[in-house]
Amino acid sequence: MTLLRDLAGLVPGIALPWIAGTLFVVALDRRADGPRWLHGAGYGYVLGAFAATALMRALSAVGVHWNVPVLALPTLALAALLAWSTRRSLQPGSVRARCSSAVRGIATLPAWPRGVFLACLALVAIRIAGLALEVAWRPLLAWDSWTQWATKARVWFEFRWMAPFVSQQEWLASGDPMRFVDMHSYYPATVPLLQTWTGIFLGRWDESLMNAPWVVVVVALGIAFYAQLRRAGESAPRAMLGTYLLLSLPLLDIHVALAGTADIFIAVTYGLAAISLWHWARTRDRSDLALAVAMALIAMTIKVEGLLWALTLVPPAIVAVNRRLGLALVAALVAAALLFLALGPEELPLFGYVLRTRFTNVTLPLAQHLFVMDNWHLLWYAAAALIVLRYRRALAPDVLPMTVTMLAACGLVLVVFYFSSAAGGVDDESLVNRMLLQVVPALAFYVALLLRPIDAARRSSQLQANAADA
Amino acid sequence: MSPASAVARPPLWWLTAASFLVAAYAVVLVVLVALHAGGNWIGGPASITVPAAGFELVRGKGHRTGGTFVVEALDPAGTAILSARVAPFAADQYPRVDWKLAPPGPTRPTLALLWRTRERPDRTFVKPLQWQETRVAPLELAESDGWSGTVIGVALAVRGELAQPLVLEAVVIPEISAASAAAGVGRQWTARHPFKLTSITFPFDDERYEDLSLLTATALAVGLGLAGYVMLARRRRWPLDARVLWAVFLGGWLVLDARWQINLWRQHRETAQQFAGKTTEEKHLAAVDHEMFTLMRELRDALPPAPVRILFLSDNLPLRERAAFFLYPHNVNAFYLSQFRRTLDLDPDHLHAGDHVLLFLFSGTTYDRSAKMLVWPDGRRRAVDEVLWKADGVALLRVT
Repeated sequence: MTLLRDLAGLVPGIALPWIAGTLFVVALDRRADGPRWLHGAGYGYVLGAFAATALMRALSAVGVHWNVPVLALPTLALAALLAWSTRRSLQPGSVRARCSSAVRGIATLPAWPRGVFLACLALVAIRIAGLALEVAWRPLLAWDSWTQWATKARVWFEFRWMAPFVSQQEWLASGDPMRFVDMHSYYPATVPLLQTWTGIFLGRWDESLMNAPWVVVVVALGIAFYAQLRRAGESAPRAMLGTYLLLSLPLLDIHVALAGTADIFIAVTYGLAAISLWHWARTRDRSDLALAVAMALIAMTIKVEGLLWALTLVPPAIVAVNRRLGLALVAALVAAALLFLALGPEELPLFGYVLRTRFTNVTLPLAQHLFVMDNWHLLWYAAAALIVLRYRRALAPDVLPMTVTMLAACGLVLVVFYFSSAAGGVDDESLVNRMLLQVVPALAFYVALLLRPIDAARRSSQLQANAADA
Repeated sequence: MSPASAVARPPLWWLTAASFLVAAYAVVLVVLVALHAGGNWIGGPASITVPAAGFELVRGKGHRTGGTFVVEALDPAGTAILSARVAPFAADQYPRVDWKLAPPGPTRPTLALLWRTRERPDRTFVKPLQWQETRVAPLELAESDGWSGTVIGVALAVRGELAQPLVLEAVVIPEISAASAAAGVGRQWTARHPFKLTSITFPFDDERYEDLSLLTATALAVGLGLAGYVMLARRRRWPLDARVLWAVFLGGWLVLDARWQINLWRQHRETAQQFAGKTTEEKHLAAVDHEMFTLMRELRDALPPAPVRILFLSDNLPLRERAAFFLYPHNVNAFYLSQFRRTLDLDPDHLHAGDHVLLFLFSGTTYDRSAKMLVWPDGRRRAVDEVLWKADGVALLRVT
């Protein structure tokens, strides 16, 4: 009975934004040969979830207190509007035909590839099922989850609006019981709003089930990653294998199981933004550019680092438009960084960090986390080996924008780790894996690109064949 | 088919991949065991165990209780030393020392192994010990550390801050042989990594102290397997089969992921036993910090309906942050004091009437119960009403 009651709250709380987001992506994707449903579903949840938090902000700003009808009806109306605008794609015959085509594609594969596809799908399903149970059972455990994220969710759930979280000075001066404070009062509201949204649909404060978005966002990541690999020309078994390899990474799994912190949302939004940007560089499809921009903007509303990650997408975007100009910009940025190190002030506050010209050597903990402890299975070994062995592929015109994205991301990590106030967080190891997690989905996609053979003819025909399945 | 082409045909790809990967793992394991066997392939000298009863307290304050030695406090110089005589043994036969110690809460003192040898009786050798999550990492010793000759005594040095007592059970100087090295590697590679507060940042902390982590061993095995296959294929003039390369890599990945999946299943089972089917409140009552939750619930029950402003003061930052979460949705401020600031430099007049102050094991400001006053160290005072008071250092007060 309790399970049914919980499901009755959880399912609409998750499904409504997911459906609205999916329909939005489908509406955006005006292709002659029909929409890409998996692609839409993967990106759709992230967009829909963010739209849900935007709705909560808007209602709170105009003084409307949240409840299920107030949140559900506008979302439902949006979904209905989008369904109407995409009605041709939603015709039962069209959807059925695409589904049966995708299933037929798998069923007609030779035995080995089909086995690989099904085995990887099963492994992913087993992993996500276990993580979902862990989330459903466990109260908040991770430190940050109850010092700066769920604190806000708890207050907003209780009072049904975004009561402000203020600085220490303001709290002490004001005396207003509705001005709250926590470890990081200024942290963005998106993540606690997702918890609050789920709690409101659930009808009670439940420290475990309110974290359902952490499970759903990793499912969405898996779907989007698979769909984007298919669009990039990978066969279904290879795309599913890539998805399994990504979702099997222990640190990514832990950030789902110990739900409540924001890093996984940055990882998903930044990863999907980088992948869409790469597709746009290749296809010039405006919907890809729109999704890349949307994901980057959402990343900026999740955590301070989101802005930094979003900035790493600027050089590849310029490279995609004008390779010479883009590469000149990259060179200029590297030169500026070197100049800063040589002549800059000892400390320079920037985007919530303090840049330093002094080098802090954090190589040992970094190497231990990448190559000794099983945080990432063999990912970093494989990435390092492939970048060395396939450097020509990395510089090929079709991969270059993603190479520049990874260079910019790598530059950001190096600056933050070795030349910023965050070096202490690397040295005491509280930051190292969490920041790396944020780049891992994009890196995994890049590794998949490096593995592809340089065979334009094969790729071109494969791309066309795969686009429909994605 | 001609005999020549029959010779050139490569074996089944999956069999080739499996053979290379298994052989590569075997090579890595044999080398690893050989490096940690101390030259004893069959068996080595027996383990030496010194129980807590064999130790004497040279400096600091402590006592024996049951089978343990409890170090309660350091001496005025900030040091405690526990010393034991051992039956003399050859250092080169025992390259590892394993201290069985219970960690004294979140604040951990610096530890070091001290030892003396028959050959250099005038000198005390020292090597620092490393804390792991729930224990002290086994110490590997080499001749370059001074671990040579005949060891006649060992000691444990404790320095720094000892917020809670340190409990010593024993020191074990284990037998080293190929069998014990292999068993040790097996234990390390199958050790559980349970979820804990720090899991989102470093979930596999213990692996850095292993002889060779399974990840590094797998990377070596995959590298060896791939290199071996490529060399053999070139030698035999087989065409390189991408499926073999993929299978060797994925085989290594699956070994790692199988271990991780088993770890996750064990964790799910434990989590289910502890929390499944419970409400949020019941889950907190079943958690390790249930005593703190119960205390905070008692305080919450003594308060008027939320939101009430509460200034939460405690010397202990982690305790303050964790306990504060249980008080939301009240307007709780547990973040006024930093980790290193333990005095309340807030002027008494800046407290608002109706605000609550929670003193929780706090030394910076005291509560004068008879005068109903909050008293600053410099004598400044502010009148308060007592909402709840407990003899063990907890006072919830309302500013008037």
